[in-house]
Amino acid sequence: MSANLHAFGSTTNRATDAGRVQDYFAHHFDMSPFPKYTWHLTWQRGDYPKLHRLAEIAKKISITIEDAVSGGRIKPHQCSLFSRSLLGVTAASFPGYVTEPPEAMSGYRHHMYGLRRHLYSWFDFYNPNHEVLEITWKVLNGESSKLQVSS
Amino acid sequence: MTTEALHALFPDSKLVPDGDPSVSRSVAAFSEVVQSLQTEISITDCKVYSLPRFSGHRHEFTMVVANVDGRYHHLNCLIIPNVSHVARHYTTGKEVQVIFQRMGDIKTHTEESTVTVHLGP
Repeated sequence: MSANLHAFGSTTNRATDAGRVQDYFAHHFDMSPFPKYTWHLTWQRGDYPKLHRLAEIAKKISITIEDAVSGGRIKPHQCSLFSRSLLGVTAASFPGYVTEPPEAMSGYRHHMYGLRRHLYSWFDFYNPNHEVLEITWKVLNGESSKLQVSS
Repeated sequence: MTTEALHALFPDSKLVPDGDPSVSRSVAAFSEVVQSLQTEISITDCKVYSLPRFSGHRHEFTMVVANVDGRYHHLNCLIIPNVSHVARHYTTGKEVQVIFQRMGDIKTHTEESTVTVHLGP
């Protein structure tokens, strides 16, 4: 579903796209002034992620993305990839997390999407890119040693 | 306390009275500062937000880290786009939010990973 948003953004008819995106969010998300979260991870056993590791992970993800962008392997706009990779690598690096129900996407919809699906759907299915998929699968399969940092 | 937290994370920050209580750095610069902190900051939870953004040429997805105990040892972690206004909704009394974001400018085709520390009101 999220992939559809990328498809909207990559087309040229922005007025129509804006309407379609608005319809999409109106249908799938609570449009109240206060935003609702769609994913929630907690660490309750004391093995909390540490901010200094999160910062280092973020830096490495940023470098990885920028290397791929400068090499022309992915498109320049990767704000979504950055945040989702940060979430995914954080989850992979601190596996003691517990998933809590989201506030948004009520009903069966959000239950259809586990973390794996949630992360994977971030990326543009209509423009598959090996570099992006490589980062994704490293995160999802816990093989993110390149991105992880030692404590 | 929140001011102390901001100065701890960004030692060269200068708060302007009645101004926007936030400071931004590149991810690399932020990482360097955090590595040097004496206090280890833990994150207790992480949230992802999906928000519409219908206008403008900027788009961003954001991770927010906010403390919950007033000592910024334990933090909430949020991932949201368009954090600039969202942060204000979620920032309360003692909170300090550390916001990871990658902001793109479609006009200039530039994008940068940044971190913003935002103080509660």
